[in-house]
Amino acid sequence: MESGAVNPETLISLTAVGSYLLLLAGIGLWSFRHSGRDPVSYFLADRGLQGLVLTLTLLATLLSAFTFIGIPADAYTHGLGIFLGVGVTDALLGIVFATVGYRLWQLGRQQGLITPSEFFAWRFQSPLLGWLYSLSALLFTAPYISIQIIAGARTLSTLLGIPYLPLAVVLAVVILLYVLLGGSRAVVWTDVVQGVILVLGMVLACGALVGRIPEIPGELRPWLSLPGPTGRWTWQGLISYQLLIVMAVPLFPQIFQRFYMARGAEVFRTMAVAWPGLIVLVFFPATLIGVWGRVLFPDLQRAELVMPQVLQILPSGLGAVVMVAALAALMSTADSQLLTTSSLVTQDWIRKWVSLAPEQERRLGQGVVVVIGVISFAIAVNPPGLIVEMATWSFQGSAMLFPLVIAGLYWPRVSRAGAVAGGFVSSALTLAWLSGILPQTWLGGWLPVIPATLIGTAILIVVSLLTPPLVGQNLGQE
Amino acid sequence: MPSRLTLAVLVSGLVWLLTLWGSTSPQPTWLGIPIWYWRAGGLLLLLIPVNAYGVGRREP
Repeated sequence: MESGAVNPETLISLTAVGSYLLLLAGIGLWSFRHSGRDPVSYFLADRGLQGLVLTLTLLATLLSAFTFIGIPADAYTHGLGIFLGVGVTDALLGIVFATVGYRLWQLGRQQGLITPSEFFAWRFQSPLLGWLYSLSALLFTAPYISIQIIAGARTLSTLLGIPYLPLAVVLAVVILLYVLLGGSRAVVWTDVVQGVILVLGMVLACGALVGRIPEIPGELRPWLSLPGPTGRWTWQGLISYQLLIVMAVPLFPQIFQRFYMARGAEVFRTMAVAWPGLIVLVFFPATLIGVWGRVLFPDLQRAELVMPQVLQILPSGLGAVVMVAALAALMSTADSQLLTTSSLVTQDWIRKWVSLAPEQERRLGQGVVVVIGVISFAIAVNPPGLIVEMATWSFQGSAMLFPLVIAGLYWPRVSRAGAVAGGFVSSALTLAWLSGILPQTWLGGWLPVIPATLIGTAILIVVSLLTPPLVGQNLGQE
Repeated sequence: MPSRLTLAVLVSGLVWLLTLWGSTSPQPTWLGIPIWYWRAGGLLLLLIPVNAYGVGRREP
């Protein structure tokens, strides 16, 4: 290529990415003009989301860098098992959202809840449990926001040949811009656009690869079955992952808070029906791309480069669409996490000690969004580890209070003492194993959060049976 | 008689079990992809009517 000339393929990619970022900024501006100025409007889109909108915002929020970059990378290294570990489990979440999410929506509406922590504080009559959830959500969500920026900047850097740091700055600034301007309304509508783009992008990428894949060679046969070439997908490994996802996803603060945003009960039926198909459209091809990537690029230095490499062999226009889809997946998660963590700080902490007018609360929320955005960006400048490893750590932090949600929604006999004891034991054990204080040999091959929540659940039950139950709370009905 | 939702949850559990069937063997394949993988993807699509039946219409 001549010095100073722009490669036509790079030009197409830059145009696609630039148009996409401008569209997001436009949605931010539109939302700014159509949003109220109070916290319910800023954080919960006025509790007015319809069925398909809620489904797409949930999908875009859940699917992230982990899906677009991490799943093909995992399949590249460990084979097709990740589809059973993550894809199958995510599809089953449709019925979980329609039951657990529906109950949380009922209670959120009835009690005027804004943050997930307010559910714990109200249900167990324990501000302590509200703060425990809030702290753990902040601790485990900030690194996850960084993952999105890291993955986006790495992908664009590989494809466009632009250095990592300026790309990370551009991504962080665009996300901050529309979250600050339009709050949850902007996040939800950008999610709808991003949800459609990411499903389309993954299907197109897989379709374009079908004709280019030679017969999978014999030495790659271990990639096509469990436990995979590295032995990662043993039954324990598989069930650990499946339990982890079922427990963690509903407790992600950005997912939990979306249940409060539903307009009515019917929304959950639409979501339950649409959800499994959308998940299959994303995970089925994503896993195959990873294994096919092993055939096409057998000697990659880092598995996370498989998706960027695949993008480079797609026809230029199509490659640009799929690249935008990858950006959509990770930006739609980062924006939701930013907004939700901001609501946790303002509603759970600052507002408890300072009395503010609704407009002041909104401005405070915007200030906190900037602070959390800067912290996440600082982590992204010096990435601490692999995307899949960071995600697994964050998932476990979210899952550790799962027994409390189930007991709070479905077990009238639960007591405040039981919930506090179970919640703290489960959290303490998870953190002790994750940080290496407790020996890994005690885990017996399971992820730390699995034994930790089992012990926490046992303590919750025993202490609840020994102490008086909570009374006088209307928990809604199926 | 269990509720429609309970039935849907039970069928979802059965679907989950069936997705595991045959996953320890790379053979047979169709279009170069193991049959168990196709079957798991197809089974997940069954969740669409199962969820539609199980969740039902709720009063607003």
